[in-house]
Amino acid sequence: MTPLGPWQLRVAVFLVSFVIIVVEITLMRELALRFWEHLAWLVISIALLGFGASGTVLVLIQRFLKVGRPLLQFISLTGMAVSFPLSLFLVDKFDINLIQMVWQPSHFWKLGALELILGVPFLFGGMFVGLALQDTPEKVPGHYASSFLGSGIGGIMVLPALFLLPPRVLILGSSCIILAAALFYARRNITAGGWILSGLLLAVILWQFPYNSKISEDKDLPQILATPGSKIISQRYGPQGLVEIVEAPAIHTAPGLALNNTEPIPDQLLIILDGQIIGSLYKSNSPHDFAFMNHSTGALPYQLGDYSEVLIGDVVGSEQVGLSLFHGANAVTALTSNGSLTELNAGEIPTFTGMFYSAPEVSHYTATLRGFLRGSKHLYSLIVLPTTGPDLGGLSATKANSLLTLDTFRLCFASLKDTGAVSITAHVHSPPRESLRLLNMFIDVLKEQGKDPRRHLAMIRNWATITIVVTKNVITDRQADKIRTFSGQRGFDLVWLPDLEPSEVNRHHILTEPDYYLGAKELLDPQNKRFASSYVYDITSPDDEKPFFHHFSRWWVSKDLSMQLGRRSRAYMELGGILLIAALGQAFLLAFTFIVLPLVPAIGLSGTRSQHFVVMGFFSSIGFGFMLLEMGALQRLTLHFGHPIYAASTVLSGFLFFGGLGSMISSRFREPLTRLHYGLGISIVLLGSLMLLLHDRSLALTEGLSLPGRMAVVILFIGPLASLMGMMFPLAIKRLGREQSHLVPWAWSANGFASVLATLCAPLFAIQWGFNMVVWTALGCYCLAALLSLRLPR
Amino acid sequence: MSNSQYYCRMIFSKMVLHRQFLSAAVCILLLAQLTSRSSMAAEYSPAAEQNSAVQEMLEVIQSYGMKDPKILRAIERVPRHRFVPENKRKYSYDDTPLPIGYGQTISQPYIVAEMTRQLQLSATSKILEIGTGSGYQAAVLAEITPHVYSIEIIEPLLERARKTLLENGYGDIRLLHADGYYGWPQAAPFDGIIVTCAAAHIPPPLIEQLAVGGRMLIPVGKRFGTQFLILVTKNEDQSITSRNLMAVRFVPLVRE
Repeated sequence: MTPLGPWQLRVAVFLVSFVIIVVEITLMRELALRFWEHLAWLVISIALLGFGASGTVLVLIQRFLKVGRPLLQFISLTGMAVSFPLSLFLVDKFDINLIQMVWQPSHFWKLGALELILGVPFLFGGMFVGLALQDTPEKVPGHYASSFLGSGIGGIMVLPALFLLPPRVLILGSSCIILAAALFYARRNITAGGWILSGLLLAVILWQFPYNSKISEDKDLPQILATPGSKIISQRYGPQGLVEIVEAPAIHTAPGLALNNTEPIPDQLLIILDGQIIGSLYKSNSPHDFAFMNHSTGALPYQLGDYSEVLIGDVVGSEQVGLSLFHGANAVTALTSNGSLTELNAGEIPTFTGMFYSAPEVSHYTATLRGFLRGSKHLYSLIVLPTTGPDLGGLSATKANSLLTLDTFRLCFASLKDTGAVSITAHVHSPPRESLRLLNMFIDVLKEQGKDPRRHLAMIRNWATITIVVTKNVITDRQADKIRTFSGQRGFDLVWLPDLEPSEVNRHHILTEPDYYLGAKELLDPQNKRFASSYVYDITSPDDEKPFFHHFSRWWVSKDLSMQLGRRSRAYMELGGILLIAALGQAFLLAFTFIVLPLVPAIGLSGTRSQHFVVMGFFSSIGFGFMLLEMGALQRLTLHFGHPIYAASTVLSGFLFFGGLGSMISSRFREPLTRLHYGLGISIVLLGSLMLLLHDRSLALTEGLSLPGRMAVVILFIGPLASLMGMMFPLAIKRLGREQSHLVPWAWSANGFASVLATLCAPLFAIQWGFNMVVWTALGCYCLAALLSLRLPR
Repeated sequence: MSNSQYYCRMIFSKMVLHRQFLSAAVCILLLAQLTSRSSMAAEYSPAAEQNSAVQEMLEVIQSYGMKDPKILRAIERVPRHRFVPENKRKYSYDDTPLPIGYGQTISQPYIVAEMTRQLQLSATSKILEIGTGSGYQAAVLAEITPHVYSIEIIEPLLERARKTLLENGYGDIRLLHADGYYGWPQAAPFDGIIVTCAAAHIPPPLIEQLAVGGRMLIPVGKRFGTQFLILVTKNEDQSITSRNLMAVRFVPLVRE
């Protein structure tokens, strides 16, 4: 087969790199749609597994098969193009239920199979780029440049594309681009029959492609659509998910209403995000249509005073805005972080949202609460934080939540008028944990302000929800009496009020013990400083450094539970953490099997033990360190951007673009490489440490910027560090190639293996010890690599 | 021991030792049951309806602490396999819910027994069931009282349940195709109302249709999260009291 000219090859490398990053980010959406959002990290692990295995496959093919590079490149492109649709087709055949993994281990293996199948296109992509980098040395920098340019542009372009097209159509488009590249590559060698065959292949792909994403049976949407009269009346794709408005006459939701409520509940439409109900739109013509909401615990803040200026964060349905209008608010600011939702509500269903959107008192903005407050100097009389969702069996434990951190609460408190209040409603859990953690966060913020938390907090609950209100002024006796009357009339139980008597609690929704009251009392006891740290669940306040609001498990409790309850203890496990550990175990097995193991019989391991230690140690360290830093940044920046998809797009683009730039620059370095290499490692550690110390302040300064502005700042911020990190690997390969070339395949595989593991270790470390520890560990890896680089061949 | 330590231990010991909590915890599906009992279930044949499979199921239910002979007798008398789709019949007497189509399930036998017990039925009680599903729960109720009313919104399910109930001698059960949210006002008030699907909201019409002193049972929470079985009672003064009976973690379905 005729090889491509250098520029043609660079176009192909550009396209492959472009498509790889587009598909990587689109697959995150696809998995979020089918399963849950927190599986995003799995996609990066899958991609790295494919890349890592591609190095091993190339070594094996080139050692045992006499296949020319051009033909291998053509096969890689064709394989990549065909495996995209094929992998989706196969994955749909799996009846995989992640939630059942704890009970049915077969799902563990199914998840492994899913990873393997989805990893195949990345394997072919990695092979193509790997083969291009085997070109003559003077051409390689140009190939590198094409690759990082493709990655950088792909990472940014995918975001607008996700607004326009469903994830699967984007993947199909990617497949067609690569197929076109393959045909262009082999155009001189293809006969008429070949063209016809290719046309047929394309027709089969277009015909058989599974265009519709398969949504897990465990999600709400399939259940809702099974009820009579249900139909999707509107839908919109976007980077933050598929928003659907569903008419379902048999589904009636009004979370946590008083049991004695007699106010009518208006007709409603359901708002579904990625297959899960996230809110309702109620048919309304006047604020009085929301009288029913005055029978929810969420109406608590309105008993404390007349709040004229209300800010409502992360508005999904119409109930909170309706409630504030019902109570006579004359300026309501409603924030929605998902632009697709705003467009749908405002444009396509006016009967249900007319009053909600056209009321002169209501201003709508598409913004995150934090970004909005950072960019605004306005003070509000009431800030309503969004209701936390019901328990999903701990699936959200591994998902970083930027809203529910001490830093957000401080920001809210600083944006209140002197007579203002902050309110939040949570779903009840037994034993209590979420509500106690929220209470603890408010207590921490009040203490920082020098206030006595016992005089500034009110907390009530019913059978479904619990609402906490924190006030800037002391709660007066009159206000407390009003809350008592409000709660008594609606059958709500008092959990905390200044001067609350034990005889006043646990009267309506009766628990065996008044757990919520007892927990609040302990937390608010100024003499008791150890309650939060010794409680059966972790209810310490999360902050931006460790923002895992839904992670409550303590390992010692799990151990005790496991010992005392045996198998039954699984009822109390947080599935998110279990999934993460399972995925890590699986990644270890898969990466070892497909990246490392094949090299043992194929090329063996020659050389001294000391050489092995230095080479493996160096390449593992930079592989592990690179991915820890990338994943740590991805998670930390999720808070900054408000959604993981924006963070993934920015971080992957930034690291790949600047990492590639660093690799290209490194090819110009001259002797002595040893000292240079060591200096690079130490520079990474120093620069990384400096960024770690500055990042909180820098991010806070830019939080009020627009999304593209924030993305640009972040890319520039990580650029210098990523460039230095990108230099370490090619320099080491260059040095190794001179004297110990037999160890080069091992170096690739050690690096690939460590990268796959780091992808999944990063969230585990972050949950356990916080993001800073993830970055410090990464910098420790680079420190070790710098030291080991002194022992690499000169 | 500090107050906090004491309180933590109290909560923890309550979690571990409280009988209701224990039984709630046991409600989760035991994988072992799927494996060890499935071998037994695989041998099950319709001809051996009252055989050891039924006895074994009763033993499992009793192991949760369920001793009420009236309830156990009712469970024993209803041929559960007749309410289960044919392709799932080998699992009929496993302590697990089973899919019956249209996204619905036939409840786990222990949950059926426990919910029936919590209704505190007598032979004259008038009971409303929301969500007929397969008809199994209604049949168990009908073993105790002849005054059973059941509403199902999915018509094909209702028709299938009607046929099964008729064929098995439960023709007295009144069935209605309607949205259960609004209850059955023409037949109200009810001494007991049993809702067999998880709800985010307790329908006001059902509370209205509950008799004074009546008991309503409703599971609350996300389908695959931790659900709470809630008991709602209407007091003499028409006020409403509710309480958590047990926490129930989702129970995975058997799939082939």
